[in-house]
Amino acid sequence: MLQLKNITVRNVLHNLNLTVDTGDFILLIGENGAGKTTLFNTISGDLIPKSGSIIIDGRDVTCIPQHKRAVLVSSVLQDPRSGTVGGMTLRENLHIAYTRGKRRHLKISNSCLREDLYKEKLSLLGMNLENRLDEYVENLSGGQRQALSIILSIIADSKIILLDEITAALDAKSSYSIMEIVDKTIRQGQKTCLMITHDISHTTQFGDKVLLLKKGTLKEANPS
Amino acid sequence: MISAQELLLSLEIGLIYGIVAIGIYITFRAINFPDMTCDGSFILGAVVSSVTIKCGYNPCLSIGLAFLSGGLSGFFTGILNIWLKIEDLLSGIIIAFMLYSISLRIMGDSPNITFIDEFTVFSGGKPLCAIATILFILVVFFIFILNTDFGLSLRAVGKNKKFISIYGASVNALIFTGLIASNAMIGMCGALFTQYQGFCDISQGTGTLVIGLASVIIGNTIFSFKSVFWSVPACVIGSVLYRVFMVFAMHSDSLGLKTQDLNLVTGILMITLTILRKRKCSS
Repeated sequence: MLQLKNITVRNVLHNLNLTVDTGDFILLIGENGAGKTTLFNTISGDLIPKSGSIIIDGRDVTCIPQHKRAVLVSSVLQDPRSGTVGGMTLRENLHIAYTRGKRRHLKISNSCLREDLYKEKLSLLGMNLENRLDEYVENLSGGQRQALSIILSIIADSKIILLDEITAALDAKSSYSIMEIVDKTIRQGQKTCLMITHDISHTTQFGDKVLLLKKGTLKEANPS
Repeated sequence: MISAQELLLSLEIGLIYGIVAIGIYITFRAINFPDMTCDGSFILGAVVSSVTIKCGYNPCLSIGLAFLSGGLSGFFTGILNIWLKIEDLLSGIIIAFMLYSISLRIMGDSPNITFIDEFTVFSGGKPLCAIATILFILVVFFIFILNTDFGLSLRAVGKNKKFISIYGASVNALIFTGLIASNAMIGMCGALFTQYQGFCDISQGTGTLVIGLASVIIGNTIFSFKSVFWSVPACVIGSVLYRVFMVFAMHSDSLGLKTQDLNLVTGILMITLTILRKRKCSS
């Protein structure tokens, strides 16, 4: 369970309260500048709130830095270039994502088990990326990079997934298949997910609840 | 006419400076930190090694101490940059500046130390074999490290800090590690170079950064591999090629170059290779 209690961040979020149960898939909508990304950055640990507390499964994580919170929270950023490392291969990106929340040892990262997992997850995308593990990520298109960043976020287990406009760089078909993968992963893995979207069709097809962020406060929205 | 002896000499010095090139590769390419500490950590390593040998200690121990002293220099650069929030360029410059005085202090206020008659790692008479062995071990070690789970994070931090933080690694810890490893290598190179020459001079460290950078640029322009498996040895080859190029440049009477033109030639070489590299990348 994720709980935000009286969160205030800069002049963007004001005494914001939110409770999300385990397994819930929440869609977050709001105008540009409403504070959606700031809210995500606060949950992921990139921003420390001025006041209030963030509790994940009963544990107060408010002052835990982002890299230590990564074991609990995984994020997919809006810009696919930020969510992947262009100058490294798909395999290397996946290795780094796989070790999220684990100790990074002085051990060569190649095991058949991992390889099979990578291929299995990438094959879900239907983009033939499973056969391009040695290709440099910078050679992929924006959409392929974004799809990869979603796989990177789910390859290692985490309790909360934050998705920031993940389908913005994708065409309609890819967007739908990515959303299906996300939905399936959340349902199967009993994960808590918050997703920012500007695509109104998502609000009717996916998610359990739609929240509107306006002037730094949250209220439930009616998708219709 | 260039003699075989001159070429052998440039090969040996090129291989020694290959260690600096690996160090520079870690900071400038892997963690993407413009570290200016190297001129200081090189001379500190050289001074520590010279004084240790002069005091009658084992030359291998002196290399170990030089390695530690270099690592310590990198550690303090990290403290300035990460804890005290001083800009990366400035923190390196400040530490290098301070190391000059510290090195002079260790030397006992004398600007040079001679120890030609003392026992060094090159006293066996086959410096090329000794240097090649040390370098081979280092190259294999670094290729291994940079391919481990830890090494992948180290390489990723220079390319995308946000990514590495999201995936659970501490950016600060990785930069610290990179700075310590790089300067430790450069300190060790200073020790080897001073033992090779049989004397230490306070000005020996000047230009280490430029030479190291030139080596990395040459190596990575000629052998434009993205894979670490090739780019680490490419830095060493770049270092040797740099020395050989300098020998040829200084012997080309038609160009009318003199020894004092060394920095000018190095600069022109770096500009040319950087342009070539950029054109290669864009095509």
